[in-house]
Order: sequence, then C-alpha cells, then structure tokens
Amino acid sequence: MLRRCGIVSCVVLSWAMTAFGQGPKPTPVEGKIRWVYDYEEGKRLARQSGKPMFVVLRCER
Amino acid sequence: MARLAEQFVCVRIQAMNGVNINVFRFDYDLTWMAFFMNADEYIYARYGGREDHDAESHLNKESLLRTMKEVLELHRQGGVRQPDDKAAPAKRVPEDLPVMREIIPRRPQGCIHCHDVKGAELIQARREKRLRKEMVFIYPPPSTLGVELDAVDQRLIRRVLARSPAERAGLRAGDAVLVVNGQAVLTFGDITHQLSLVPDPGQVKLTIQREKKTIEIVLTLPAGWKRSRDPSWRETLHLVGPGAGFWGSTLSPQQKRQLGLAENALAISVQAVYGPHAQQAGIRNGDVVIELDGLREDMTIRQLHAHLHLNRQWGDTVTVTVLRQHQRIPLRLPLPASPPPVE
Repeated sequence: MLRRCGIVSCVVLSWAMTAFGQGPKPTPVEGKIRWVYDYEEGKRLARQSGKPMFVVLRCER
Repeated sequence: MARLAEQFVCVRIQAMNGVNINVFRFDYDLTWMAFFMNADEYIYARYGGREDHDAESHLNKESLLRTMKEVLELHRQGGVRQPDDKAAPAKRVPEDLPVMREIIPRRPQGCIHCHDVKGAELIQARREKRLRKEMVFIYPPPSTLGVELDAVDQRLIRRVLARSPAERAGLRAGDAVLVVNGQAVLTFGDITHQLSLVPDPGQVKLTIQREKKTIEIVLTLPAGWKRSRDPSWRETLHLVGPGAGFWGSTLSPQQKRQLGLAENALAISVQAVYGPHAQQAGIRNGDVVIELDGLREDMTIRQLHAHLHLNRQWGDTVTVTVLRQHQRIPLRLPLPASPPPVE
C-alpha cells in the first residue's frame, strides 16, 4: 500500500513539475561543443568566467 | 567552430518551458534561433531567421563564425550597443500565458515548442476578439522592405527589388545597413528584430554605409508591408483562418501532362480528407484539385492552405474543382464555422 502511494505521489509530482514550469529533461546532443542545458547555470558560468553567452533555442523533441 | 565556441558559455535551450520571453523574443514560427549576450542579459546580437523561400537562407557556418568574432570584440570592449536591451526586462514565461495551461497537457512531456508561444498569444487574442490576420507577420523578413541581404555579411544589400519601398527611398545594391531606427545591427536576425518594432504602416530609418560615406535613409512603408510573399511555412497560420480540410501533394510536370494540364496549373492530388467540411463537400482521396477559390496556378498544399487561412473567414464557402476519372467536377467547400479548440 505504502509503495503504491509512493508511486502515485511520484507520478503526480512528476506531472506537476512538467505542467508548472520545470519542463522536460534536456536531451544532450553529441558534438564538439560543450553545451550547458540550464540557462541559469549558463549565466552563472558566464559571470564567473567573464565569457559572453551563446544561447541557442532549438526545439529538439 | 568548436575552438571559437570555447570562448563562449554555450547554452542550449530545447524547450520554451520557463524561458523568459521578454528576453528571448523572436519569431516563434522558427525552430532555431540564437542569442549572443552577456551574463546580465544584454544582447549583443541575434542570429537566425529566414526568408520565405528557404529555411536556411541566412543560416550558414561562415556568417555564424563572423558573428561570433564580432560579438567577442564587442564583449571585449565592454560595450552594450543596443539601448533597448540595456535594462533587463521583467521575467515573463510562456506558462504565464493563460492559454498555455490548456496546451501543456497536450504536449509529450509537457514540452512547450517555440510555435506554441505564438499560438497561445494568437488564441488569446482571438478569445479577446482582437485577433487580426496580420498578427502572423510580427517578424517581417528584410525582403518586405524590398532588399535581399547577403547570406554571409548579413548587413550587405545584395539586391534592391523594383518598385519596392527600398528602391523608392534610394537604397542600392552594395549598401551596408549599420543601424536600424537607432539600433546598431550585425545580422539578419538583428534587422528582423528591429523591423518587428516598426508599426504597420510606418517608417524606418536606416543608417547606411555607401562606399566610404555614412548616410541616413528613411523608408516609407505602406499598410500591410509586413505581409511577406509566401508565409506557408509558418506553423501558426491555421490559427488565423480556416483550412481546406484535406492534404495532398503537387503533381509532377509529367503527371500533369498525362492529365492534359499545363505545367504551371494547380494540380494537387488529394491523399487525406480529414476535415468533416471537406468530406461533406464530396472531396475524395485520389481527386486532383485543379481550382480552389478561383486560384488555378501551381502551388503546394501548404500554399493552398495559407491562401485560405489568410484570405478567408470562418464560415465562408469557396469553390473547388477536382479531376476525377478525367471528369472535371465542380464542388462547393463550406469552411468550418469556427476555429478548432486548442490543439
């Protein structure tokens, strides 16, 4: 019973995260460029390194 | 490319969920767009966009490398060159759009596509009774001014079209566009972004480099100037007007000859009749559409749909002529009375 409740909670939580802002998980792309898939993390790295950002928006699903 | 990319923090956003659409504002009918910016979200350049005839008209390695080098130089100088981007705008995400709450559950993994953002805005406008078909053309390509930009040096005018606003204002092939309405530009994407801010009808002031001189030229843009010639590639067109309710493919010149049709004649072989209105009109798989709403010239099925979306209203009726077993059969196609619910 507890296990079933746990599974249901996970499903509901997963749905809620998807439906309200968290969005789907990134699908890493292969290639020579090292991509960051989290925009806020990208901003943090840019600030830390002093580099500009190259932000690509590409629907890949 | 990879070596140059190491001088940037490369961020890849694969869905619009949670993306600040006040910062990442672009033509959401596109499936690819890039922004060059600093950590404070000051935008150096926008890279991407297209002319109607080719999805990759201004996407190529040479122009991307060129833009990356120019951005690195701007970044080194510490200069923010686009006044409109100086103050980072407040965060607004697609999930804030009321219609998006209805769209998200319909998408696998809840993934918001770029065109979903524009779609949600159009549907919201429709519900608030302020939808106009022109809203599809928010981001006009530079060809709407009457200029063809070089694919690599994207500020360089390759050709000026006859009888266009650009020709009337005196623009010439070889001119380089440096500034649009006070904003320095580097790319096709920058120019398109600035054009998106120009009213319809309106005026746009360009600062041009011609040989060694810098001159200013004002273009007067007539009503409807943002409407491009062939927007049939746009994903959101179906939200502003009714469609035909069937799908098909254009016949080859040889197939047309066999049916006694001219090479430039409309000839679309129907492969799927999915709309109840098209079924009710009597359109069948295997029919060859040779006339629709008075149009008889060669076009693709997407262009045929685009014609209806942009020129017809919900509830209109149009004529269709089909070839069926060598007989020309005139039909009347009643278009859907109202738009479909959110898809």
